[in-house]
Amino acid sequence: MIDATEVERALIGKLAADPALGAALPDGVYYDVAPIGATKFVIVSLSTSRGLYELNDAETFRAFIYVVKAVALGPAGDTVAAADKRIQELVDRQPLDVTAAGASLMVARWVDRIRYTETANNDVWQHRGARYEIMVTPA
Amino acid sequence: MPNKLVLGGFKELRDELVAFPQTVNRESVPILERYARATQAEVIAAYPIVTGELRAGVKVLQRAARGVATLITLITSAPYAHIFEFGSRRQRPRPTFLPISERGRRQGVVAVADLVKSKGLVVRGAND
Repeated sequence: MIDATEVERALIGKLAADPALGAALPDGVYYDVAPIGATKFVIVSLSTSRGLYELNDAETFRAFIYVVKAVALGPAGDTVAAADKRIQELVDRQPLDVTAAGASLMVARWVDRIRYTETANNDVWQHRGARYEIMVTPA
Repeated sequence: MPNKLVLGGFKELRDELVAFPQTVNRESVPILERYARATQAEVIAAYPIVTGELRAGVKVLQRAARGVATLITLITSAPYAHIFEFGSRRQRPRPTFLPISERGRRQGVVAVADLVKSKGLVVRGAND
């Protein structure tokens, strides 16, 4: 059995351990939502997932598509642009240790881009990143 | 009497092959449209009602594309649909449109692949 939570922990752990990403977005890497007060952070969330039931009743692989985005307060996009680039360097077609999930990695890859600006209470927030597919198979 | 082997039907075969893309296109459009409408209904049902904009923004667009292709696109056009899908600075993402639409697209592709298979061709990768 593949433990999906451990796949997420592996992804978040890899991003959180990177010094360059931590320097750009020092408030941390969070699943779904960041704590109040955070102004420069990374969000990881599950966008969609699937198995292939034709193959061994979906036990052959699981594919998880995660949103991984840099979020920062301010009108300038420099910080999120650098962070987005770094996230891509860390995840796209790179290794990911999913041993704790009872799995091994088949592929981690960039799927499509996410970029938008949010305005709220006279503040401007930049959101930039991508969806990434993490495909794993039982170890 | 000289031996003679006559192979016929080439013109008919050629005519069928030439017409094949148009035939498949004509028959696959209603299939894809049916899946698009079903997916649209599923997305609309999954969106909450606050102002009604999210649900009203889910539309099916159909237009001719290059060659014999027909493009059927499901869109979510509310101005904050991306915020709903991917989250705001304080609100968690609520993935709705993408999971449902991607599943609907896969199902539509498989249905068209079945149509092509029913005409005697082999289709690979329809589940990808």
